[in-house]
Amino acid sequence: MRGNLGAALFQIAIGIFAAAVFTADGQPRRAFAPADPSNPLRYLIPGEEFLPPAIAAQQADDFDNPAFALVETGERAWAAPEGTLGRSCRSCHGSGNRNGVRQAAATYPKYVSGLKEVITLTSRINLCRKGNLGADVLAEDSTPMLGMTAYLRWLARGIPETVDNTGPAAELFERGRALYQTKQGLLQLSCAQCHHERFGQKFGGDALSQGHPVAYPAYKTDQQRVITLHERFRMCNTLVRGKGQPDGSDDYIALELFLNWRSRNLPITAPGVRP
Amino acid sequence: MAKMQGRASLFLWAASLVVFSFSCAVDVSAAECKRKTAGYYLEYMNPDGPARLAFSLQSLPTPLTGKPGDIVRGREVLIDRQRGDCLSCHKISAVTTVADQGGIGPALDGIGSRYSEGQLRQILVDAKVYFPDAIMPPYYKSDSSEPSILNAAEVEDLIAYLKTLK
Ligand code: HEC
Ligand code: HEC
Ligand code: HEC
Repeated sequence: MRGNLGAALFQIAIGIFAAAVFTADGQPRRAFAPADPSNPLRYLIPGEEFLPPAIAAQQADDFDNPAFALVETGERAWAAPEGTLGRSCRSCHGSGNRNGVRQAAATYPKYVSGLKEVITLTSRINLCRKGNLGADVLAEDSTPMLGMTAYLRWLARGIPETVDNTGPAAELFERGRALYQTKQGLLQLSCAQCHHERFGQKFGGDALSQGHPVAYPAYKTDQQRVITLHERFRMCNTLVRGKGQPDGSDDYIALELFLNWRSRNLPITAPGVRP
Repeated sequence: MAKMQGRASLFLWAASLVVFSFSCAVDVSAAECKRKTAGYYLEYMNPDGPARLAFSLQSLPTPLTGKPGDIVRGREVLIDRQRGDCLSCHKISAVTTVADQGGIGPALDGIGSRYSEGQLRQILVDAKVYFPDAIMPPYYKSDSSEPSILNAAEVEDLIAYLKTLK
């Protein structure tokens, strides 16, 4: 009896926090309330809601998700000693749970006071590799780096995005917000014009989503490999016939910070699968 | 109890439906609505619906090259991803060779009878004259210091093709 009442109350709670929105032909879509009233989006709709259902199902199933091999690579690397100090990540962080490492991937890009800089998850991994393992720094888009980010992001699966955009991160955040509205490329389109004003509409064969970053790194089916979030930015730059930037550029970190704030409250779903 | 649970969720769905249908019912212009709902309502505004016919009289009646374009080349420019790439945003049922056609702009079926040649030229050069908040890209810049997506001959070829869409 109480269980049932609990369930009913739970459903009501879900109804408040995760309302359904409807498409033109009356199909419901899952949606979450943004964490901040100042978020320009009224509802956060996960990217999976705009995918062909078969691809969304593939993402949700670890055995079917092609990016999962990379998660396993990362998991093995986590426990394998490397570098001159004879340690592995696990020596200090335990089996992916201690020191808050499970949640960590939902909080980046993050301001690090020691560096006086906002850094991405990949930079954080490299910091630990250099300082705590005595190992070499990995390239942003190298397979071992993709493996480690995929593993850490997968650990955070289901945890709501909670990036901090205040204090010392505010300046970079504002830069990201401005970039998001800047018209770019020969077509002179801003990120907002596609992902804010026109999501749900079709651009070529793809339905435009709200452009949330929570599923990255993600397996791109047409290229049969896993791509970073910054590579997705480059693809969008190419769509408007503009110039892309390398992974880890200041502009891309600013955009990543703004996008993560914009999706605050959406659960992490990495590693994603995309057509 | 299960029934109550069912009712509760039914109520919620109905409530969100109501909220959504009324969030823009009382008002005004589509542009206003777009700003208010940050895009959610756009899904209901079928871009292929009633054509957004331009009422402005401004048009560019003279061919940019001084002579009419070529229909066959125009179709190629339209499809080519590196040049026109019009089908990323528009649908044209007459083009059956391209499967993935977009829905950001209105369908261009019958566009040749909706607009005069001069109006089509105006839309390709600068659509903002008709649609002030247009995201339809400006395809031609006569000032050589600015990058132009298409050259004058390509624009004329495109217009020749668009005129055949009756
Ligand atoms: C010598 C111990 C040690 C080793 C080995 C180590 N780390 Fe760390 N790591 C730390 C400490 C201490 C912090 C917290 C630093 C801080 O808060 O400034 C940290 C922080 C982190 C964070 C950020 C956590 C957060 O909440 O922001 C990540 C991610 C991380 N480490 C990943 C790794 C990875 C991946 C490896 C293996 C390549 C590794 N670490 C190896 C000690 C270690
Ligand atoms: C011409 C329209 C267009 C513009 C402008 C554009 N994108 Fe995209 N973007 C797309 C398409 C199409 C996709 C793939 C389908 C989807 O998820 O929306 C995409 C996907 C994304 C995704 C991945 C979403 C997911 O769940 O997989 C992110 C993140 C993104 N874009 C960010 C940006 C950023 C940042 C900018 C500005 C620099 C930008 N986009 C500009 C069309 C655009
Ligand atoms: C980035 C998406 C995009 C691309 C690419 C694009 N258009 Fe458009 N087009 C639009 C939109 C959106 C409109 C509606 C006006 C507006 O809001 O910009 C439009 C309007 C039009 C109209 C007026 C339609 C009407 O019914 O009033 C014509 C004609 C047109 N486009 C032709 C073209 C041609 C030809 C090309 C290729 C050279 C092209 N468009 C490429 C987005 C696009």
